[in-house]
Amino acid sequence: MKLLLAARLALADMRHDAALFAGVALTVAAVLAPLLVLLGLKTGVVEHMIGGLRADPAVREIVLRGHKERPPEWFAAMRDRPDVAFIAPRMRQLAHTVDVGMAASPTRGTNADFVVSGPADPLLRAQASAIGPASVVLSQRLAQQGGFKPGDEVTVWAIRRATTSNQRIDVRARVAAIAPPGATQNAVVFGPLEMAAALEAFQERETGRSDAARHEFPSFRLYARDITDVATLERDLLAEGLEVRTDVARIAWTLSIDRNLSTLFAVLSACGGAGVAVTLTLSLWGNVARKRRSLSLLRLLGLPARALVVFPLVQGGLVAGAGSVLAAGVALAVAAMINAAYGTAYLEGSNLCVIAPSHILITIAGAVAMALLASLAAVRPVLRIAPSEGMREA
Amino acid sequence: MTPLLDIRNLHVTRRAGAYAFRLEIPALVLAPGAILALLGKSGSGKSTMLDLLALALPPDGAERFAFAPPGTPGGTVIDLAAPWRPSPWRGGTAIQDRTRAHHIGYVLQTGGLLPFLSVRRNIALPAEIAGRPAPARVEQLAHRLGVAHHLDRMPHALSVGERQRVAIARALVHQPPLVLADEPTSALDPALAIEVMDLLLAETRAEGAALIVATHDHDAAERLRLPVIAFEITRGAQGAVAVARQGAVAIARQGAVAVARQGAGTVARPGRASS
Repeated sequence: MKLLLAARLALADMRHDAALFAGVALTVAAVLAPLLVLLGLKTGVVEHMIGGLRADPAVREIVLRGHKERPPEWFAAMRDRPDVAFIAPRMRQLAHTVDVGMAASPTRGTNADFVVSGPADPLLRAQASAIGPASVVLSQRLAQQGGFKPGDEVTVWAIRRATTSNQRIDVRARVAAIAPPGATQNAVVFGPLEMAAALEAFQERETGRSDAARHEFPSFRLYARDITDVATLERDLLAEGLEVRTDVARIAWTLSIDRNLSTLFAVLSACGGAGVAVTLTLSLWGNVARKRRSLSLLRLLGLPARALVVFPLVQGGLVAGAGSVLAAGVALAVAAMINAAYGTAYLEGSNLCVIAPSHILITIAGAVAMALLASLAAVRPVLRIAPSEGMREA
Repeated sequence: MTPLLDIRNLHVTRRAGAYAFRLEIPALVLAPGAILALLGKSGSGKSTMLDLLALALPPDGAERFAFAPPGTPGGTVIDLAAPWRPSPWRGGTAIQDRTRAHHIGYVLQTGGLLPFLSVRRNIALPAEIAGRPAPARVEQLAHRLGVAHHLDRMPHALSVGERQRVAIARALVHQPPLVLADEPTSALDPALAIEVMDLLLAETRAEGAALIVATHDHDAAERLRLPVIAFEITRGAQGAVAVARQGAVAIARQGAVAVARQGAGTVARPGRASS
């Protein structure tokens, strides 16, 4: 009850000295608003760049130069790595060319490439999970050329040249889905490993049923889980003697921009934060010094010292809260103006200045926390105020 | 009847550099509803004594410092010396805070009102601190003291006399058994001083509270026939010792010694001795 009463008295004091406290709140806002706008610009630019990298699976792809057959255990071990999002064998050049036709008329086919796929294939996104032992996903181009749609029963076949006549292998499959537009520009059948093993074994004239588990493929399609994992994967593969090609330089450049801008922002924030802390500390301390008679009167009237401590805490918290809310309002307005003025001209499809709700919440929480710390400077003098001071005229 | 305040052999020393001022109170007994004037000029020890009585200054020692507010459960006597005995006074112990909040009202020189609260909230504050908000009583006291039309104004908009009326209302709002007034008329012109002092006494009596009023105004004390506490002062090179005497006391005023009696209703004039 006493604490609540002290808080109400602190509010009354703030109302009485509204101009003074408004000045402090405006000072806080004047420091925080430009910082928020700067953070918004950094976020807008960097998130666009990094988001662009993350959205493009090709950036995360580690491409093997040449061919080097790897055993199934190697694929399994790679699949288990936490920094690997997806790995699938890549078929030999000759073997991956197939024809796809409706199951009902398996003589009229559309030429396509067969690409091993499966769950978590970043090229297919959500459609990747549709691939099964007898289910395939077709690229948009293939679907258009062959008139295929999800649910169609199709035959995928390959032909090999024999001495006397051509030989053909047919694989029946159901079209589970059509791949998203960005997956590939080519006519492609995305199918399971078992199907690829059968087709490749047929082309290599292996006899009998192909054992997908033991089949060795000459290459692979490998994607890191995140752009930050590409460098590690590249290093490990190089250490294995595999020559690979990645986008690691582009990723490193983009991340360094983020890092450098973050450092710059941290330095500016620290300077601004220090300014806010000093302003709040001095204003709260000064206020306690100015209000010493009033505070001692409250002590004389029986308000405990611990309740008076609420005075600077409430006032500091409210001033910083009001200042940071004002800063957020100003920054959002400025961000809207920047985005309206420049549109998305600079960053394709993205706003130049992006102030996230989390930025605002962190700013307000940080400012209030800083004010509470700053008000501790005023707590000590408050605790030392004696009731007897209230008896005397100032 | 249990006295409201019972002090025996209390002493305190205040130091300012090499100078020391020691106040001794051999005995002070204040009955409920009694009125006393602390009479003396500046430096006589009035303020020190008032600080002691306001529980705002710890004594260096006291054989007894008991406060027995009427109406406390079981007629409890609060031993105000107890919190000070085991360790030096650090200010703001719970018992002093609670006693000040519940049992003492204050009227200060120019009101001592909080500038950021309206007159209404200033008057209501002691009751709120005591945990007994009394909005109806605020209105009632404001009417009795003639400041009802100022209730929603801020203190700075009031004259000094009006502020003193508000201060009297504030001192009485939580129905304390003891009111301490520190030079409540020193900032007022003589006519207004008489009016405010009369009002303070009348309202305190009406509330049944005891009153100790510190003043250097002998005339007021004499006119109102107030029993007094006065100070015997012995000055030396290293400082001064003031002994507060209740009843027949010696009063130092303008170098002359006079004697006053408590209860006799007379105050000795300077340069005039009586027994």
